[in-house]
This record gives sequence, C-alpha cells and structure tokens, in this order.
Amino acid sequence: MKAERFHTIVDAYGVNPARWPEAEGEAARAHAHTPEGQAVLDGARALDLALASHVAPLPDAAAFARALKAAEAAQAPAVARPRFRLPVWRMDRFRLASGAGLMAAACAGVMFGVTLTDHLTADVQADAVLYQATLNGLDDTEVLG
Amino acid sequence: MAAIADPDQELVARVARGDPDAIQALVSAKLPRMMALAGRLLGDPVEAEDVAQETLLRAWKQAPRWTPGKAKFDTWLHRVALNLCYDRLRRRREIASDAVPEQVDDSPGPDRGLMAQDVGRRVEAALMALPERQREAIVLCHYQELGNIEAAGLMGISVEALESLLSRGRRALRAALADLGPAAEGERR
Repeated sequence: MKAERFHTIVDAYGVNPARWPEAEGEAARAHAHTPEGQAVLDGARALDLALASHVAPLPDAAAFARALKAAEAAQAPAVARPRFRLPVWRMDRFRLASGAGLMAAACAGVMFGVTLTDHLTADVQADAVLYQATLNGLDDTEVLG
Repeated sequence: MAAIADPDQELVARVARGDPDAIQALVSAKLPRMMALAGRLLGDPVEAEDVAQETLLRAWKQAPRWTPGKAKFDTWLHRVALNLCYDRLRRRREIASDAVPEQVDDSPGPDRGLMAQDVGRRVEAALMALPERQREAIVLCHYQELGNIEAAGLMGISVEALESLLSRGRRALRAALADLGPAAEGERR
C-alpha cells in the first residue's frame, strides 16, 4: 500500500483497523507497522480518543418496557369480530319469517288503532248525546215552567 | 448475486414466529443501537428514543415478511432510522427558517474551564455543529461501526464520496476541539 493511501484511510476512518475498508485492511495493517505508518497513527489517535469520550443516550428500563409492549401489540393477531351469518338456504327462511313478523306487527297496530279510535269516538258521541239531552231539558223547563 | 450473510437472520426468523425470547433479544440489541444512532444525529435523547421505538415498531411488522439473503436486517433498521431522522431534521430546518436567529455567546464564561474538561459534551457540540452529511458519515462509520460500502449505500453515495465526507468531518472536529490540547490537534499536518 502506498503511504498516501494509508494516510487517506486513517484520515477518513481513524486509527482502529476494524473501521478500515475490508478490501484494503490487510495491506493497511501491514503498512501500520512501518515507522511512517506509526507516525500517521500517532497523529490520528488523539481525535479517536476524543470521539470515544462521547457517550450516546441509552434507553432506560421504561424505554425497554415500551418497546416490548409495542412488540407484543404488533405481534398479537388481529381479533376478528364474530359475524352472524346464516347459510343462504336458511337466509330466505329467515327473511320470510322476519317479513311475516313485521306484517303481523303492522296488522296488530292497525287493529289497535281502529279499536282505540272507535272507543274514543263512542265516548265523544255519548258526551254529545248527554249534552244534547241537557239542552233539551233546559228547553222543557223553560217551556213547562 | 451472492446472498448476504446476516448475523441477525436466525433472530429475525424467530421474531417472525413470535418467539418472546427472540423479541427480547432483538430489543436488547437494537434499541440501544438505534437510539445511539438517532441521538448522535439529532442531539436530543427524547427524539432519539421516539425514532428508536418507531424503528423497532416497523421491525415487528417487517419481520414476518423479511427475505433473508437480500440485505442485513441491521442495515435495513439503519435505513428506517435514518429516514425518520431526516424527517425530523427537515422539520427543524423549516421551523428554524421561520424563527428569529438565536444569538450565540462565544465569549468565555465563568464556567468555561469546567466545560472544557467535559470532553464528551464538547465532542457532542462539535458533532452537532458539523454539516449533516459529514455528521452522518462519522456516526455511521465511527460510532455505528458500519463498513464503508454499507455506509455509502445507506447514504446513497460512492465510497470515495463517503471518504471525502469523513475526512472533512474529522478535520472540522479537530478544529473545533483544538482547544482541548494535543488530544484533538494530533492529526493536524
């Protein structure tokens, strides 16, 4: 490896051979043992040490718990709501029965309405007759004295 | 094309079968890794956790459909997390362009000496001050320890372009951390 390339590698990737390009790693490691290579590494080591002092934020216990809970929720199979379905041949019967029931309910309603109306009409008629009778009574009193 | 060897292949297959131990193992391995990635790109631990959680949530949905041999699962996770980070960085830029520029006080303060001792915080500040693409290159190669081909693929650039971003990024970091002493100045040539 040429000294210039080794210089470029260290300049970009730092002093740790694990970070050097895999394809050139062997040649670069060999060059690192030369006095020239050592000088380049000595010059670059300081920045790597400074970079190593930076500690990234780490997840706390609550963050781990949240991640596990999210995983559990994501993995849980979607709970399908049970749907009431009748077979087609029973569907017609069901619909027929439902229709008949509806008709019966409608008829019952009509009958009740008619009965109620008759009853109310009879009451009103009775009142009218009594009123009329009272009026007649007054007339008789006036006439008969 | 040769199948790509994936160290997570077996684990992902077990996750797809709903194996609780595999799920726990994947969370233990990947949640800190994705949070570190997002934390260094966004500089905000709360946002970083949101990104990491969302990335894993997508992983649970993807696991049953995952085709082994096409890509590494870890690379795919990085792709998802990077996209989520890009979205957040884009939103920040939109908000920042509407906001009044913040005044930065560069003058030495009473606690300046104390802050200089906190190298980690200084490095974080220097990383966040880098152009996004340089920061991304350094985070992927240096901190996430991805290979150059993998990192370049994720960033959609050539390996040469990646090396250029890395070199410029490291140069900027050396300049930003120069006051720390020989620790950060060593590479200056």
